[in-house]
Amino acid sequence: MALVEIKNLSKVYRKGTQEVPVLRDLDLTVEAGEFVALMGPSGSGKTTLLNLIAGIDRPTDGIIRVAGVDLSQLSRTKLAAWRAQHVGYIFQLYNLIPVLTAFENVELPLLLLPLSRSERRKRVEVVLGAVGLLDRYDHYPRQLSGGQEQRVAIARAIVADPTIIVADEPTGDLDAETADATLALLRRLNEEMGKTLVMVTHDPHAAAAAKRLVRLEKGALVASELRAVGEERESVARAGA
Amino acid sequence: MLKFLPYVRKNILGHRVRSAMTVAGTAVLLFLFLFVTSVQNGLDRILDARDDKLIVFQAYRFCPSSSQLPVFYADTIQAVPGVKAVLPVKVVVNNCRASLDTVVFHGVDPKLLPAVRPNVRFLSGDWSAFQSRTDAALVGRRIAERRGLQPGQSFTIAGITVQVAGVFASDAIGEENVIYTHLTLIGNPGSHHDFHATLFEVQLDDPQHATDVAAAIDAKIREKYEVPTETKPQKAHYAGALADLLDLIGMTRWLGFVCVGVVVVLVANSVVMSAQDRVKEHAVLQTLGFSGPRVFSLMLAESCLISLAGGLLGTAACVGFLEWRPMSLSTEGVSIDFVASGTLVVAGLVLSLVVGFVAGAVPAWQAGRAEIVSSLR
Amino acid sequence: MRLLPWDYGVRNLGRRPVRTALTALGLGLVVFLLLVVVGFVRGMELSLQQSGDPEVVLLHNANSAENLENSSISDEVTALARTEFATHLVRYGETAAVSPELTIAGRISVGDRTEGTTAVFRGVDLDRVFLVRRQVSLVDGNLPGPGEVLIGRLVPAKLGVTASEVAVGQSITIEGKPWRVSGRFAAPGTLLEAEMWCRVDDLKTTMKRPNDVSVVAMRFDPAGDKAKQMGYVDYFCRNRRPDLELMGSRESDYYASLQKHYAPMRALAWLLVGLVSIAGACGAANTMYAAVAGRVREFAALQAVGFPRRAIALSLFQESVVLAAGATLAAAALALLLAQGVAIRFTMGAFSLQIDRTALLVGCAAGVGLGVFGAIPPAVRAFRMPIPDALKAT
Repeated sequence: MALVEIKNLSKVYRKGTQEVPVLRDLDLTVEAGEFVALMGPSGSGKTTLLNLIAGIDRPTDGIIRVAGVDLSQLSRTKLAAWRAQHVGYIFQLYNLIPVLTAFENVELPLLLLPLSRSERRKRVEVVLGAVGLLDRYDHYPRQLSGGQEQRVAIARAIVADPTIIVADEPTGDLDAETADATLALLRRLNEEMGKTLVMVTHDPHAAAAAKRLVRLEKGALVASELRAVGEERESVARAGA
Repeated sequence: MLKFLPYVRKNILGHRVRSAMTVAGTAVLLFLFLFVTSVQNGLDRILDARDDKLIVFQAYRFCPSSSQLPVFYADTIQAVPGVKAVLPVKVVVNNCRASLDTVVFHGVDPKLLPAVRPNVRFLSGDWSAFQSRTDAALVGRRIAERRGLQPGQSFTIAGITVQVAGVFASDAIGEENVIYTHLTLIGNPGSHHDFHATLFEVQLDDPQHATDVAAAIDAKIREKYEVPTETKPQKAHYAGALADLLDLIGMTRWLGFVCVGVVVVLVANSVVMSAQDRVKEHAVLQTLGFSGPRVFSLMLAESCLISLAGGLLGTAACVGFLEWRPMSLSTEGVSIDFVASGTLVVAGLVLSLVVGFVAGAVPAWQAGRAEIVSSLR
Repeated sequence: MRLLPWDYGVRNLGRRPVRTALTALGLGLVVFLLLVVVGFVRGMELSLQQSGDPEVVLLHNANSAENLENSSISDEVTALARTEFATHLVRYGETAAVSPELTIAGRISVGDRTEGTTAVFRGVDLDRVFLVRRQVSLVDGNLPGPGEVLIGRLVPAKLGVTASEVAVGQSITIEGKPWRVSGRFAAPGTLLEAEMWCRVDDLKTTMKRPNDVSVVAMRFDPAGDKAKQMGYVDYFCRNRRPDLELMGSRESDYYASLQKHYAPMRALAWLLVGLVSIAGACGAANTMYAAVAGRVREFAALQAVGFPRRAIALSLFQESVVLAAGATLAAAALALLLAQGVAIRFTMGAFSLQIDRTALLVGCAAGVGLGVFGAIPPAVRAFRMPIPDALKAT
């Protein structure tokens, strides 16, 4: 069974009396362990699709099932609890809590789980070590560079061992070198830890880190291409084929 | 919830200036509210006190200096059925009107006083020191502190010169504002060299029969003597004396409520600012899995903690101030102490929590209800 | 100096309407509180000031200098005063302005109420009292006859009853005896308005005091030498008739000494004013800090455009002061509507809250002042960061 199953998904935003369709009748599946990049021009609906997968927005129509759960059937409170268990979100601008240290930022999702203080501590140290920032555990976000902040954000996204990690332009605010390092980290999460990743990006270089490329245009899926590292690209399916 | 307290605390401390201003403003206003409430507490203590004494006063007189009853009335009063003991008291005040600095002398028979004042605890001196000199004075703790009176010290107030033979503490309402002297020192001998008292304090065999005994005393005096009396239970006597202060105390109470209103607005404003500054942060928390109700409770906890911090400070300041400077509002020789009781402390803390809750409820609810996607933008 | 447009500051108030509204509400409440407290202090001060006529001299018992209600002097003092002080007294035709008065504190009850209230009852010589008490005028009904009483305008507040319960024709009980209300008098701003007047002989009979009065009030010639007048009064009291145990006091001096008695209470009221102002300043500063913190980049951009820091700071002050001034005006209007003239019963008398020019000046100055001082620390903070750093601030 696919980890993410999307059927006939539509999303319409209302601005006053105007209706703005962002996603139209979209079908998509993501298998467990996949690393998918969502690409498309501005306004194509890629971030909206990401938000729907992450459970922070609701579809207007259609079904979206993640980890076997139909998200549209969950109440707000149950959706929050579901997110705590299953989703790790990485933002473009990191969105760390400014008054908390790196350690405390990473610990935040664990406060929602029934873990003891020592258990939380252990987990945070592991993931901070994995992103190479254990020595900066007591630094505040303002004391970290952009790349370091993003690594803390990644640590926060994985500390609760989520089922799926979603990333919205994770390298959008980083210089080339830091972006590469971040992408390498994401690849490690996927290849070594078997995490399922869905990443929105407009940067082809960032998209190259993913194994599958899904293109959206005007709210519809126009292409889905598998990409193997070091091998030529194979075109698998186009929308409607 | 406890595990989220570090996060709440950090958010409060992370905005030091805002939090400090809110705590300071809350502390000041709650200090004021508790200060005016302490007067009400003092008044309630007087009006709710055990009523087991009668006060015999000259009829148609109100200020102590205008009531002049011959001391020999005591024998007649003692003979009335139901009367256990009679203590003639000459009351001299330096100011009959409402004042924060009234000095009240009670001139009494020094041999009778120990029996009728078992509740008196000496902080210095003793009964024999008081009884041995005609110009000796026993000074209540509150007035001793207010005026800086020490044993052995001589002072003159309202034309009366006395020497401090001791300082006492007492649980009886208003007693710590009194200076006991000898009746013979201040009793104004009349034309037949009989001393005059302002009032007679009557202890009863059975307080249930107070009204009957009071009527009997007045009737007996009217029958035998020229100067009529009006006898009332002690509480009624105090209530009559304090009646003219009720408007003033009512007004201060009302002002106290307005102070609480300002605190609510101050804290609410602070919480609104906090919520508005952290719209994105709250959306991030929700993406991490914090539910709307949890975000609500985090904001509410912040509001309550700030308010409680201000409340603690204000309550401590009020209690500390009243301990350092015991204050009393007096009129016609009756004093209302500004009482910093345990109830006041609890009231201050509970009120600050309630204020935090009320002030923070709406902004916290709005923060918890915010849409994630639009908030992230 | 290039200044920012005036409406820039005003429009910024509308950026965060909830905050602005809450701050205005808080400031308004603070100013309202201040006005009521200052109104109380002014009411007390003014009633004592206005009650004391500097041309009126009181002869009273030497032992009751601070509590004239307890004074008792012989009846003969009235006749003596007319002759002894003839050269100093104001005369109206043949009548010298000398008024014997018996002042008692009596228990008064109205209607069916069994609980009485203590109030001042003054027995007066109706032919002479108005020659001395020039502030008093009859505003309703008639002068009292036997068994009748004339009540001051503040008496209903003093007794805690409605005006209709003590209207002309109604009956009130004084010391167990019913008295008919014959009329009402006004003595604006004085403590006399909380009193009840009757004929002095009526009161003497009721109170069984046939031979004494409380005071003899005299109106002295305003053109005369005041020191000389009081010098003679002192001489009369101490040297000519020491047996009468008299003392003379100018009424204004008597009330001035009462002012001193109430000084601790006034000091407490001003302390309250000070503390409430501090709380108000905290609220105003809080809002201005938040307003500034969120606009660091904006201010940096304005500076980059060419506006000097002073201009931006001025705009900040303007914003804060407009907010504070609006709240202050609303609070002042509310205070005048709700609190002005409210009677407060107070030791033997009553006075009205006076939100007069002084009170309004203090309240409005405090309100606007809160706006100014609330903006200073944030304004100082806003310009600490260098422009390039501020432009990058989040």
